[in-house]
Amino acid sequence: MRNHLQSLLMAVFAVWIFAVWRLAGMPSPGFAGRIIPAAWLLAAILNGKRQRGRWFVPMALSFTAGAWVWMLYPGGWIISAAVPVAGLIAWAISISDNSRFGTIRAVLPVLLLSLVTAEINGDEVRFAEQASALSGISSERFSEANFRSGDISGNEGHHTPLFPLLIAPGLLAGDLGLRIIPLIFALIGILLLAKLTSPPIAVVAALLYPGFGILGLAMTGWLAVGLFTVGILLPEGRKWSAVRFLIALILVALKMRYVGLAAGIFIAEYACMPGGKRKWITPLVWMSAGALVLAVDRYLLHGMIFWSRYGNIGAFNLIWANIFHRPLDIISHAGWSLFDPEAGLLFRAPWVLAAISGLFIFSRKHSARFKRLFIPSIIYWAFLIVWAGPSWHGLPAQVGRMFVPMLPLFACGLASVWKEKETRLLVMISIAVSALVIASPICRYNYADGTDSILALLGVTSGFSMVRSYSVQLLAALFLASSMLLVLRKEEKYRVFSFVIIFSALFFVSLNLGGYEAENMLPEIVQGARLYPYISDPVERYFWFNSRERMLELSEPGQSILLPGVEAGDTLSLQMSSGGGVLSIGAELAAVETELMEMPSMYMSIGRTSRTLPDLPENRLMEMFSVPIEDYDIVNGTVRIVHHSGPPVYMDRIDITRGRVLQ
Amino acid sequence: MKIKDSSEVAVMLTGYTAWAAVNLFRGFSSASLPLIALFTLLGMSLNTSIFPLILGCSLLGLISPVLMPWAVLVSGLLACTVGITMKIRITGFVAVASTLWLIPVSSSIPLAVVAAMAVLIGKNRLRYFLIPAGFIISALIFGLPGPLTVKPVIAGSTITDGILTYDIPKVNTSRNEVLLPAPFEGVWAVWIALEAGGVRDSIPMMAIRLGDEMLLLPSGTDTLSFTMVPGDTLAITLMRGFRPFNHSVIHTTAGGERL
Repeated sequence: MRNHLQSLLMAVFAVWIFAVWRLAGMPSPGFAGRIIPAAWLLAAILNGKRQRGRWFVPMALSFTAGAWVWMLYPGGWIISAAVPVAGLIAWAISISDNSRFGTIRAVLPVLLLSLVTAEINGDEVRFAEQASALSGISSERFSEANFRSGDISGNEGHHTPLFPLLIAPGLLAGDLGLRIIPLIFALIGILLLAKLTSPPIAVVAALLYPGFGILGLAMTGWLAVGLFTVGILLPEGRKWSAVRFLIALILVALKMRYVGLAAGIFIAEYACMPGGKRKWITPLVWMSAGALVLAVDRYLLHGMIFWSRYGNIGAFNLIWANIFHRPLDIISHAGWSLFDPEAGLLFRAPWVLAAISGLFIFSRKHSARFKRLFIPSIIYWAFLIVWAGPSWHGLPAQVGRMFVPMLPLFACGLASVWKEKETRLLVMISIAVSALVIASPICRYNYADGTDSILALLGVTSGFSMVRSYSVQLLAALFLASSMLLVLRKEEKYRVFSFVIIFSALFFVSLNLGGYEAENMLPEIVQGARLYPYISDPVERYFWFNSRERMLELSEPGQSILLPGVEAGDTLSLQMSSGGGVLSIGAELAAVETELMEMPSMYMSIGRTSRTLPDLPENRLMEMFSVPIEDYDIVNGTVRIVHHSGPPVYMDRIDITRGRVLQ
Repeated sequence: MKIKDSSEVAVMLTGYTAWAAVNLFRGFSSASLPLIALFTLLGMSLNTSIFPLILGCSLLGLISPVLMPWAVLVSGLLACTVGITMKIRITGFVAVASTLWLIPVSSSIPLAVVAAMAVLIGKNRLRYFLIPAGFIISALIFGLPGPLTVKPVIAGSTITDGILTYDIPKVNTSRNEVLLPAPFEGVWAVWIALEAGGVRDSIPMMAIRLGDEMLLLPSGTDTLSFTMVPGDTLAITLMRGFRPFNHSVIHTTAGGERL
C-alpha cells in the first residue's frame, strides 16, 4: 500500500478536481469537468510506484485557488482548468523512463485529452473521404467525396493517396476510426524519438508544440517524424543507404511538402559518405541534368512529363518568382515563421530556443548524426517558405503542424541542454501553452488575420503580426531571440538575463500601439459592419497583392462605428479604400475614392495571357484620410461613422491624433 | 534549482522594470500595483517548488491586464500556504491583500482570512488544508468572489442585405448580462432563441428587458420576437448569482430583419 501512496494521492486529486468543479459551478461540467479528472485518474492508474514531483501539492492548491476566483474574469475557469492539465504534462515528463511501455504510459493521459478535445478538421475529413473512395471501406460520414477548393475533382483531392490508403483500415471501426492508425503512427514516432534521444525528451516533443498540435490526429506529420527518425537510427553502410533513399521516396509519396525533407536525406547521405570536396561534382552534374529535363518539359513539351500542381505547368515559376523577384518577402516569411504570434514556431514552442542552443553542443559530439538531422530539416524549412510563400503556415488548420517534421532535430538539441535551468524555464512556458490549448480547444486554430486565439483568450490584442508585417518588429523579435540564444550559451552568471528576455518578449507581444485595427474592433465600437472577406479562411487572402489584412466593410444602413475617446480639435486618420462611397463622419460627409492598383509588372510577365486586376476591394489602394473633429461631430462622447451612399467603403485602421494634423 | 541570492534580486528587478514599462505604455493604473508584490514573490520563490506556478501567474499578469487579479490572487494564496519561509508567506499575503484592497472583489473576506491564517500557522501539513477548507467553506457559506467587471458585455452584430445577425457570448455567473443594441437606422424585427440551464429548480433564472418591458423566464428553451428601433437595447440578464453545484448558463442566438 505504501508503495502505491502516490498513485492513491493522484486518484484523490482526480476526485477533488471533479468535486471542486461542481462546487465552484465552473462552466462545462459535463465535458471538461469530466475528462480532466478522468485523465488524472488514468494517470493515477498508470503511475505505479513512481514518486510524484515536488510540484504536485503547489499545483493542486493552485487549481483550487484558481477555481475559487474563477468568476473574476469570464476566461478564468479556462486558466484554472489548464492548471491540472499542465500538471499532467509535467507528470508525464517526470515519470517517462526506459522501462517497458515507460514512454507510452507517460503520454497516454494527455494524448487522450488531446484526442477528445480536438475537433475533426477539414483535412482529416478529406483524408477519410479519399480513404473510403480508394479502399471501398465506407463509413456513414465519409462515404461520399466532396469537392473542395484546390481539388482536381470530387474524387481526386489535392492530397496524395498513400496516407488515405494507410489510414483506411481504421474506418472499419466507424467514423471516429479514422484516427486509429494515425494514433498508432504517433505512438511509434514517439518511441522512435525516445530511442533517438531519451524518454523525457520524446515526451516533451510529443506533448508540447509543435508536435502536440497534431498528436494523434489524422494528419501526416507524425508518420513523417517516424520515417525520418528511422532513417537517422539506421546504421551506416551501403544497404542502409538504400533504405534511407526508400524512406525519402515514401516521404514524398506521403505529402509533396516533404520533398524538401527527402532531398535533404539524399544530400545528407551523400555528405556522410567518404570522399573529399570533389565528390560533390557528380551530384551537381545530375542536378543540372534534372534542371535541364524540367526546362525541356516546361518550355518544349509544355509540361507533358511532370504535371505538377494539377496540371499547372507554371507551378515551377512560383519558385523562380519567389527567389528572384521577391527575395525580401521570402526573408520576411522566414522571419515570421519563427516569430508570428499566430503561427510562428517560437511563440507556441519557446523550448525550441533551448533546443537550438543545444544543437551547437550536439553538432560537436555527434557530427554525422547532426548532418543527417540538420540538412534535411533546414532544407524542408527553406523549401516550405520558398514553395508556399505567404501560406507557409498552412492555417486555418492546426497551428504549428508545418514544423512537426523538424521535431527529431529539435529533440536532439534539447537532449544536449536538458539539465540546464533555462531549458526547464522555457519548457515550463511551453507546457502552459499546451495546457491552455487542451482547456480551450479553439486555441488550436488561427486564421492568419492578426488575432491569435491564445492572446484573445487572455484578453490581449497584439499589434505584432505577420499580416501587418512591420520589418522593425521582426528585427526586434530577432534581437530578443538572438539574445536568448547568447544567454543560453554563455556562462551561468549571465543566465538570469533569460528572465529579462522572457518578460521583454511578453511585454512586446502584448504591446498594442493604440489605434483601432479593423479585425480588433470590439462590439462596443462596431455594430452591423462585417469583415471582408466574409469568411475568415486565409486561403481567401493568399493571392492579394496589397495587404492580407481583413477589412471592415461599411455598405448599408444600420452599420456603424461609434468611436469613443475623441475630443473636439482631434484628428481622425482613417485608412480606407472605395470606388466612390460616401461616409458620414460625425456631421461631415467624406467621399472615398481610391485608385485601382495595377498588376505588379513581375506578375504580368508570368504566363502567356495578359492580366488585369478586377475591381475587387482587395485590389483598391488603401489611402489615409484625415478628418478634423469639431464639437458638433461628437454626440454622447462618441463620433459616429456610417455609410451614407455609393459603393461600399473598406476600412483597415483608425487612429486618433490629438490636435490638428497638417495636410 | 539552486540559484544565488543576487539572481533573486535580479529577477525581482526585472519584474519591477516590466511593471514600470506596462504603466508607461498602457498608462498608470493603481490596479497594477499588486504586480509589484507578485514579481517580488517570483524572485523569492526562485529556488522553490512553487516557482513554476508563480512564474506562470507572473507571465499571465504581465501580458493580460484583465487576468492580473486572478494571477496575483492565485499565486499569493499559494505562497501563503506553501511558502517555505516566513518572508515568502508574508509577501504572498501582501499580494493577496493588495489585490483585495486596490481592486473591489466581492466575497473577498474568506480569501483574506485564509491568507492571513496560512501565514501565521507554523505547521506545514496543516497549512496545506487551508486553501481546500477555505474554498469549501467559502463556496458553501459565503459564496465565491464575483466578476470584477460590472459593465455588461455588448454583443457583436453584422448586417447583410438587411438581415441582422448577432454574435452573443454565453452568459454565466462570471458574465451575467449581455446587451443587444438595435442598429442605428431603420425599424427591425428581432428574434432571440434562448437555451438556459445548469440550475436545479424552475424558478425564473433570466430577465429579458427591452425599454420598459421585462420578461422573466425559467430554465429551458424559449424563442421571443421584438420590434426594435434605433436607441433600443435588448438586455439578457442572468438573475442567479453563485450557488454550489449550479452551473447557470444562457446560450443565445439572435437575428433580425429590417422592416
